[in-house]
Amino acid sequence: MTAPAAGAQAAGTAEHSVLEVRGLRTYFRRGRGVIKIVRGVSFRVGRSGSVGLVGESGSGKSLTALSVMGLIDKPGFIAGGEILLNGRELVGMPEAELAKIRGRDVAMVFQEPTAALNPLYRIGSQVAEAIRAHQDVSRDQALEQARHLLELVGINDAGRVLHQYPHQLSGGMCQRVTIAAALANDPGLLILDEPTTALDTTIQAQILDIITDLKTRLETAIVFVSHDISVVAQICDELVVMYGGRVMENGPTEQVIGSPKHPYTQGLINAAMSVSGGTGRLESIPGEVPDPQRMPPGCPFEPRCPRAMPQCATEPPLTALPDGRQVACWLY
Amino acid sequence: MPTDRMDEPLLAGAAAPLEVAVPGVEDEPLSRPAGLLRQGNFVVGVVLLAIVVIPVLLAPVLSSVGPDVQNPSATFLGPSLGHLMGTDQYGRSIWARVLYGGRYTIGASVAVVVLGGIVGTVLGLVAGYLQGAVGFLIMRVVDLLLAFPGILLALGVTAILGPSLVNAVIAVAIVAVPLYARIVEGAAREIRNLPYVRASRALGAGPRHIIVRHVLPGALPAIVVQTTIYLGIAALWIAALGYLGLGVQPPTPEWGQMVSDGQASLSIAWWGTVFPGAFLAAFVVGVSLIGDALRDRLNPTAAGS
Repeated sequence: MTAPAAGAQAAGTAEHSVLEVRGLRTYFRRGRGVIKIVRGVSFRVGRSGSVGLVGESGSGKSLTALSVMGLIDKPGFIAGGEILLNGRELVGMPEAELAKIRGRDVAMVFQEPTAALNPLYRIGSQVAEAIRAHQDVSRDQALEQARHLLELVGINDAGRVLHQYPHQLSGGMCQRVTIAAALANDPGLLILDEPTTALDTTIQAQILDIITDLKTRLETAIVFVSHDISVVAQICDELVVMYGGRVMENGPTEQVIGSPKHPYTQGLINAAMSVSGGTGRLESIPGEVPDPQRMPPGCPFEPRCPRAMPQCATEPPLTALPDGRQVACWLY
Repeated sequence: MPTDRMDEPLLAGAAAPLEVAVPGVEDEPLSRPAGLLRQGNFVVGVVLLAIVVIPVLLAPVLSSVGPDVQNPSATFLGPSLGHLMGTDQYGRSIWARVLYGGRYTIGASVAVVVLGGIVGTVLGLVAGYLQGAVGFLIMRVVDLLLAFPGILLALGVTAILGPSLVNAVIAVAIVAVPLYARIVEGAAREIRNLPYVRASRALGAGPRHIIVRHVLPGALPAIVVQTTIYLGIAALWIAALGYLGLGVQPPTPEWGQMVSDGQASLSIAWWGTVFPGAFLAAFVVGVSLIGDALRDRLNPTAAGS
């Protein structure tokens, strides 16, 4: 919409991006100090592109997503960096402006589908609420649109579901409803934060199918946040592997999955393969995610890394490889 | 279900969650009223309240004389069929004065919870949802008001405003405001962090919309319980101010003022004090019992979950 004018300073790379995040830092105040959760994260999402943010719990991927939505509440705050949505800077934008953008230009689906719906209202009312937040339509028109949205996400008896309460629906159904509500205003970017983690495996596959289907049909750009690299790989064209609040590796999905460069990415893939591949032995990455208050001074993965070397005591920069992807590791 | 009821919120924790069939648990899905009727204190409360409120509402029907009609030839008569509750020093019917007086005591207490409830709820919602500097300021003023013993605050306010029923209502409502604000703020603070509120914000809902649509309905059980509990307290304080001469002015009857009126002649005419006192006590106890039952049932600490 306003891309050419408002995004003048963001010309160049941002021109064809829906979302461009540069050097994002999201911190939390605690007492007199700050806890640095997201420590300089950059990535971009092209028109109709799909990017997966992958990493273990505590890697800062969900907070990166919430930062893009402008939903970081006190004591959290964005300490630095830029978030350009369609060329417009979101960092520092007043709350009232952000509210206009949320749902219209960027929408988000959360992890717990049943908790993301108010138990006191019928489904139709809640989807209509999302529509009427940005469109000046009557309640009946909104309900009619809501029915179409529910059909879009594969709910066959949408007419009945409209009149039901969230507790009458399964988790998978609720997640379809929240996806429908997120699509209500045809946002250019849809952020999905662990949308299948709380669901049964069979339902997980259904939801992933719906997301894949929507991606091709609606041309909505997608940011998919998950700890499960195999799930993300199914959906996304590009992967951003995060650890300790930083990007470890990014690049096209085939390259990252096919020949992971960073030892952390290799560990994640080995762990995922051993679960699905059935080699009889479950692989894991030894150790645990560092406490953000006691982050190692160098590479955050160094304490757990099988290939750690003395150089790792200083933090490696994100370096471009000849094939175009980027890795933050002294091995390359 | 007709679409025109689509946007009506359920009372939090009302019928809906009870419809969930828990496998293996053969607990019949109770509708809420039936569940309440199983609680003894609720039934006793309703009966007490009915005994008090119905006659008060029907005062003109149940009393042949007005509350101010004097009869010099029938002073200090004891209770009899002619004068159900006897007469006072002016020969006025205590029965008539208790029934009409109830309108002032009960009416004033209802006015107190409506006034104090609305102001306190709005302050609590704003403070609890927005937090920040505004919320901090509101809650510190609330703390300040809570630090005063309620009756002292009410006395102080009527002393400043002057004795009258309206001023008594304002005084007791001022005492009620921080109580409501404190409870609603807690509920709002809890609800604002629920996933569905964040989801609603992620879809573009502004603060006013979220407060009205999500936070207020979630806080409603807490408000309802607080209202039933405070209604009795308000009646007691309205009566206390009346007793001290700071509320309704004579000859208008009001229970507290009647207790004080009859006190001088307590040794020769106990009925002048005991009957209004008994009605006041029945009203307060009845309302409190209902409030307790509602609190157990609606469990406002779990509001919104």
